[in-house]
Amino acid sequence: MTAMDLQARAKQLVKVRCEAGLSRAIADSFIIGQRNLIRLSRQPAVITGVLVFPIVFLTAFLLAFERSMSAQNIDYIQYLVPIITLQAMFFTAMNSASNLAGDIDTGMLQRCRAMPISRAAVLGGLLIAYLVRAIVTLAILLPVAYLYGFRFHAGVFSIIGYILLTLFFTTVAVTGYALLALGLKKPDLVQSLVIVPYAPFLLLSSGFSPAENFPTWLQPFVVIQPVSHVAAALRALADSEPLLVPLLWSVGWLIVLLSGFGFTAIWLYRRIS
Amino acid sequence: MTLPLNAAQLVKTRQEGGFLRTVYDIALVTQRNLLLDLRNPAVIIGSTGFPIFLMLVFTASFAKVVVPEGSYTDYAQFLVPLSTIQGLLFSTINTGTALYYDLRSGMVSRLRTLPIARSAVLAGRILGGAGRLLVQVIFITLVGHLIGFRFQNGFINGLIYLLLPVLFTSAFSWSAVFLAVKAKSAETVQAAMAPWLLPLTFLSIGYVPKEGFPEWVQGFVSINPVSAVAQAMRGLSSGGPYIGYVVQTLLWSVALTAIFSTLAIRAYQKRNS
Amino acid sequence: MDVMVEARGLEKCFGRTRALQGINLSVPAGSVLGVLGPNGAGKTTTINCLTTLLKPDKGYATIAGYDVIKQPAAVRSLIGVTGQFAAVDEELTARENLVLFGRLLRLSSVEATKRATELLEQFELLEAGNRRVKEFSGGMRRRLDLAASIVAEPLVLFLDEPTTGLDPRSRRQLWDMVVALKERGITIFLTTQYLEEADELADRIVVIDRGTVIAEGTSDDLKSRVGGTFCKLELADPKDESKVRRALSGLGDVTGTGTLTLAAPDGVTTLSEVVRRVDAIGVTLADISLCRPSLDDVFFALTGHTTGETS
Repeated sequence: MTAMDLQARAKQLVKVRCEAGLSRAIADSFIIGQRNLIRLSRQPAVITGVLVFPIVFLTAFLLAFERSMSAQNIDYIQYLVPIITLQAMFFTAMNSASNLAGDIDTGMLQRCRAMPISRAAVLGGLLIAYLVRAIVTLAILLPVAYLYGFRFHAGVFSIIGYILLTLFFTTVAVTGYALLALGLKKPDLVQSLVIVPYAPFLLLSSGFSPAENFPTWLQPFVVIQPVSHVAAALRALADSEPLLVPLLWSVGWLIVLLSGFGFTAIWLYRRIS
Repeated sequence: MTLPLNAAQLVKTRQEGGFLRTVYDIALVTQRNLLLDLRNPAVIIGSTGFPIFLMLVFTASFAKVVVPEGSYTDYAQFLVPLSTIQGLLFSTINTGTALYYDLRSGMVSRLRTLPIARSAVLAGRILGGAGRLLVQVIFITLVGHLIGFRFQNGFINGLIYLLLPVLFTSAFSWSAVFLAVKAKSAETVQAAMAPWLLPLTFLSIGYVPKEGFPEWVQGFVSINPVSAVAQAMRGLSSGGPYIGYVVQTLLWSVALTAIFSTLAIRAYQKRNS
Repeated sequence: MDVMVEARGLEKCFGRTRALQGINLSVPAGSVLGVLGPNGAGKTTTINCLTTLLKPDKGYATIAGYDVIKQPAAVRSLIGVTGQFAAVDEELTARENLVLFGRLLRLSSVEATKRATELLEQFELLEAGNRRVKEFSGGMRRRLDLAASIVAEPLVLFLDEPTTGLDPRSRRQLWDMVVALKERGITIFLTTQYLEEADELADRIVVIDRGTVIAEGTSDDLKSRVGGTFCKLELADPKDESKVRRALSGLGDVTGTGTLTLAAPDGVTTLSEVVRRVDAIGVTLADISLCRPSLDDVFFALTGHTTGETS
């Protein structure tokens, strides 16, 4: 190859394989998303996580607390399904963190970083795959909840709204957990620490039990934190109750968190080594 | 040529077998497992921290639901035993995954080629686990003390209170050992344990009294071994009848050990790696 | 522009560790550069800087004239990288892996599938193509990894210790594949701990130690720095030693006892002269050989320590 040929060939490759641009980002994300889905469908643990876990939780809580709750005039199935939904989304996001940490560990992430593909593709592909997983989870959980007596009282729109808000929540959770994986890198470390964000936010929420049941000094945290608001909005959607306030709070929280998590995640991704 | 004599001598002095040799071998392997736990305090903190957190959250969010006219302290007195046994049962997952990693890393193969008792690997795992469980019981009980849990039934009963769940959980952890020997990945162990740990611990007389459950579940709740352990512990700490429950717990422990240790040892001997 | 890869004064620190302390090197287009050094010498860090994975603290580097710091996206369009750990998906089949990378490199689904088959064939993986990678042996994984980095033909291929941990047969297979890639005109940047590997594959060798280049040249250049070829004789009967020494006088200094060595500047010519003279005096030899210093000797001569020790 002469010097001129080389120069021209390099130029041509740079042009053809250029990684910039939104359409590239989307196309690359979908390719990686597809790969993640193949992987997910081949992990037996994921299948129990998707199929069995949410239903076991729903059943266990319902059986244990339905009677006591009805003494407080709470129809517990209507109250419980939203937080069980969000919990399932948390589990989804926790699994995404383990898988991302696995990719860092095997060198897959480095390989992708050295390829001319969009910088957003790895995270985008992760998100796409886990949103699909979230939809599958919902498609199993909601019919079972229906059998247990859960109802959408405001028709099709409330179902669509419920699903969209849940998926938005999942997006935020997956992005947040991606941050954890990018920061910690080691799969076993990630595995043992995924519980740390989950525990306070999901459990110290008004999702399982109304905020008034908590000790007075804890109530402010329970009331203000995002999971409580999203659970309340989901409940309002299903029950056809006043929606505006919880929805605004939820969306507000989610947007703030998403932009914070998103920028930090991309920043960490760029400088990871 | 003195070689044959030496070989015979070596076989004589090193060959495994005999009661004392076996006990000694098990003790050594146990010691190794305990040392590993000691070097990884994060694992113990993680597996103890979560049940403690769960205990605190449940006290905070369900005290007013389950005992509407009582105080948080009253519910703590009721809940701490169940939280303890639940925490221990969940940490059997760790016992399982740790064994799985040993099997995969070749550590177990090395131990198996040594002239030590065949039972040492598995029994050492169970005993090492028991040491860790005891530490966890003590931690959980101390935190329980902070939220109002008290031993009201004397020192000896208090001691039995601490040992009983360790015994029961050790028996139960044979099931985790069995799964670990069979499993193809660490997540499989986790995914296979969790779906039945949840109903066992939730559908027991622990979070709520038996009358809190719907009638058709009450049958399961009463025969659930976790109910027996929780009630025995409750009797030992707070007073009331407990001899019957203690005996039940012991019988369950023997039964679980007999069944799962047989299965585990059989599966272990069949392994070819 | 004849230079494909160029690095000038690359420096990189990780906390207090100075991983690179001013690396200078250049790789002519179409050639193979072997970067030789022990563990921790800075080989992987150099590759990471050149492949845009890591930003150097100081210095600059170019690939085909594109700056790796200022035009990382362009650089990524020109390179293929095979890291130290075979980064392929365990849960996916070999074919699925290759199709995935093909599509990420702008091939259409059809093209990517076609290319995957082509590569599987070329890398002797066709039969195993539809099996999941987790069932693969180490050698198969490495081959697949190499295939994955050339799905879309790169101008420069970076190979980071491609044969570490492989059995001799797999290593030989991988070497053949690297040679085939070189013959197609791909410039190759290869790091290795194995002196034999650099000797076999590289046109030029750069020896690095503690983050700096300590020697550079062809394999022969490096060897001649430790002294050239020598001739080694082993006598059947040690009592003949003084006789032989006398017979060889004038050819050069004869050293050693029992096994005699002497410099052989003319290689085989010297060797045959030695054989002729020893034969003439009727002495029997147990063994005679022409020896060149190994790269291990080179490394020791350059650094004062062997490749096994870093500090």
